[in-house]
Amino acid sequence: MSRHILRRIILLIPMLIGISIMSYGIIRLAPGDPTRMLADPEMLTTEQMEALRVQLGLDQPIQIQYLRTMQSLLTGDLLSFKTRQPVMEMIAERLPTTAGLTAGVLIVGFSLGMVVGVLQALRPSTRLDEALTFFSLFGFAVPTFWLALMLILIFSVRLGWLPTSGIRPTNTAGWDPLAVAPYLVLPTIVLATNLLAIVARYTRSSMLETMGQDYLRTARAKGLSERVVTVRHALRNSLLPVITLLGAQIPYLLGGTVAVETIFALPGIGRLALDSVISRDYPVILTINLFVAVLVLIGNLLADIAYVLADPRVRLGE
Amino acid sequence: MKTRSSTSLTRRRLLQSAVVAGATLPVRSTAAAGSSASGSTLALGARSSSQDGRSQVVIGAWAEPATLLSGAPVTGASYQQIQRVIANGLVKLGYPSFEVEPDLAESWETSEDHLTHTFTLRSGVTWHDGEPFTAEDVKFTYDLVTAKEWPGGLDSYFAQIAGATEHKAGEADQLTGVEVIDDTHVKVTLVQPDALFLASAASRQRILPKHVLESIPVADIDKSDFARKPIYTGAYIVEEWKQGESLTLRANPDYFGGAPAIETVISRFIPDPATTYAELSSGGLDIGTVSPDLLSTFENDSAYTVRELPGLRVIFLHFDLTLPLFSDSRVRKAIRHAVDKQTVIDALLLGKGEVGRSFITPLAWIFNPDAPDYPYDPKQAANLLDEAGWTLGDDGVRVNADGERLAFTLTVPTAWREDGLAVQPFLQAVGFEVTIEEQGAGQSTGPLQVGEYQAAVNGWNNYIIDPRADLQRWFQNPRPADQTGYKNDEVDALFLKARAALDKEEEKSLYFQIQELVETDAPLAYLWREQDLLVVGPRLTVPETDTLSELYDRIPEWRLND
Repeated sequence: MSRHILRRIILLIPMLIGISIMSYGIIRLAPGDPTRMLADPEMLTTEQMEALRVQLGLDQPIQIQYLRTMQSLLTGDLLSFKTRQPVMEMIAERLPTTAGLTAGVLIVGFSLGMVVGVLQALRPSTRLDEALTFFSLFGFAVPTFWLALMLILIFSVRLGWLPTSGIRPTNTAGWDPLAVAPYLVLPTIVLATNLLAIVARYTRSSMLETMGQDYLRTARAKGLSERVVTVRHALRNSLLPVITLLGAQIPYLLGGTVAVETIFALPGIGRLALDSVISRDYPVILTINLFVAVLVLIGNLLADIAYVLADPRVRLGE
Repeated sequence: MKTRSSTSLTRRRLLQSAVVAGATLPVRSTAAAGSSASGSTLALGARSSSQDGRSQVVIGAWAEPATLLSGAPVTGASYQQIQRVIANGLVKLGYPSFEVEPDLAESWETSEDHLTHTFTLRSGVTWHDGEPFTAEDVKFTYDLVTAKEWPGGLDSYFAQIAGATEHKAGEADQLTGVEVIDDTHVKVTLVQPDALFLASAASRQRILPKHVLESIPVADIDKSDFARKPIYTGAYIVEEWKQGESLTLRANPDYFGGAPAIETVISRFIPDPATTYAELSSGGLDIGTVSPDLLSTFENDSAYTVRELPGLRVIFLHFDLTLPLFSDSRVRKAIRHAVDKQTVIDALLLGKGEVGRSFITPLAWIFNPDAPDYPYDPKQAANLLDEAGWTLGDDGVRVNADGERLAFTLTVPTAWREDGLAVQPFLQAVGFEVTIEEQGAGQSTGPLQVGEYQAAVNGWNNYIIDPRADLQRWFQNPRPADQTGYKNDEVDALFLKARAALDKEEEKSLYFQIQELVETDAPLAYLWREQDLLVVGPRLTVPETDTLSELYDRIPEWRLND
């Protein structure tokens, strides 16, 4: 297995090069010249705009621009068009917020989603199953921004239990977990509601399918308790499709953070990405794209590894 | 920054349409149900003092700038407003009429020929790090921003200083036109008289500290820490800039204008107007602006103070005047007559706006109240179109003798979506066929230029630069980034004359003539000015001001209630 993982990791390199070329190409297909988007129209003369274009390297052929951008990225001195700060530093400053949020959402979404799905599968077509189906479909269908605003109005404005927006109290800095946690509760609920619904639906159907398998009848016939049958035999085997979700959900989650970070005024990667797209800050967009690509590739790799751990029948690369 | 097409404002409006359109109703009804919610939740939000006992306000006013370095080519949203709180130029634009006032220079003498300005600097001013401010800093600053290695080209107003062009070209190692006479006197020599030099270069460029920046290579200054945590002479000191989150300012006890009353000012960058509303309601923000539909919640709550301030942003239509249709001023005038601005203000802005009738704010000292105006008069619009050869067809759309329809495409950026949609039916009523082309933030190419569109909605902020420069930027030829193709030789000659004018009254009358001629041509169709709707929370008292930007300039005078 370790050889397989190593091979997968080596394969990441050509994949990332391909992704970088494609994302740079797509970014450049968007209309608009960064100089015009960024410059103060009334402040700068045509000559000043031209000087700015040269300074940003936009006077070069596109392939040269791409190679220069990649070179700066790899040597760590790629600068944002807009802020002239190193892109890596900008992302590093935003990363803890998005990482904390996404981790929370994955934990809450997967654990609660699996519990809900198992409960439904154990009591199919009962009132409980129908109620949970209703709520998970509701969670799946409800628009993120609407749910976010409703939660803010109820829990922050009316009840005053939780802070409205931001990542920590205004007069503090750093990442004290106790200070930050209350700020992440509502954003986590918003994003986890959606994920929970997906995980619950997957778990339910997968579990129902497993419950009908012959080997479960055998297990029961052997006199195993219902708890052992459910947890050790049924649940473990039902997990495979759910684990696949883990890798597949990461890009959706990061997409969802754009809206959630905007509504909750969180200083995360999603908002940085949105701002950068609007101002055509090519270096920042490219770096974030590559960063997300790495996460997705690693997420898929981890899902594959988790497969092996969950199902001894799967033997990677052998 | 000047146009609302800049990123943050577009985003705000973009979200306003996307989020608030779907959520305003529930927001308002829930808020109304819990109208006194504000009182019970103060504990969680902003506190009147930070943990170390310093007085503190949290403001939701500004978008995140790109840099805090004065003179950088890319500055971003809210940059000018923040600069006015933390930094000083030699002079500044005063309120409400935008006349030049002393700042770091307490006075100045202008030679008879208007070629030299001798500034007398305030004495005893110190930088945020305690070092004394001197005339050397002024020379250093002007040398720096005209240096060859300084990012961006040469600013057109700085180009007026003797030796600037040579310095930018790398032929000289400093400006010949800036001389230090002694610690408190500096003389600036121009190559030709320029009435705009003080209002433009000397107010916009804040003085930078020589002792801090001289050790940094010129080309690296915009990438240095100074750009994020600068040292200036202003009322507040930048303590911390948390990216995407907030800017923390600390009072400068040695500020030459007197130490500010509130010790810490935290400006939070909140992209979504609905969030600003919720933070104001829950006490997380002490001050902020809201959209007209959300104002009533605060108006009905005595704990809040609400102010309706005249908007300094004009929303208008501009046209590609090189197109045959729009080259006829009768068609443009008909458009101005056709739109019932007051009705739209009442419906769209819930009455919180003023009819736009000029490009510059009516508060400006050069504003000509007698320049031609084209009030709502659909009959007059119809007459003008008839006169121009456009006769009403059977389908309600006018046609000319060649059978061409009176049709055009109106480009509507997301930021002004509602404004554009509101205009359309009025134009159709007088016989135009108007196709709306919405332009999302992702499709924007920056300010539209001649040849790229037919007609478009736009907005312009009148508080960032001098009103004379505002007029130049849109009506004088040649100009950078031509958005309209407008050209009137008489106007151009008057602009040159006004810029060389030696007498203020003479200058004023020249700008009056310019506005008279421009409005006779009617190259733009002004729509309205949205009021700035300010909500002040229960803990804070702010001075009465004429405009929102003046209110933020005067943060040092803000007080916390006991």
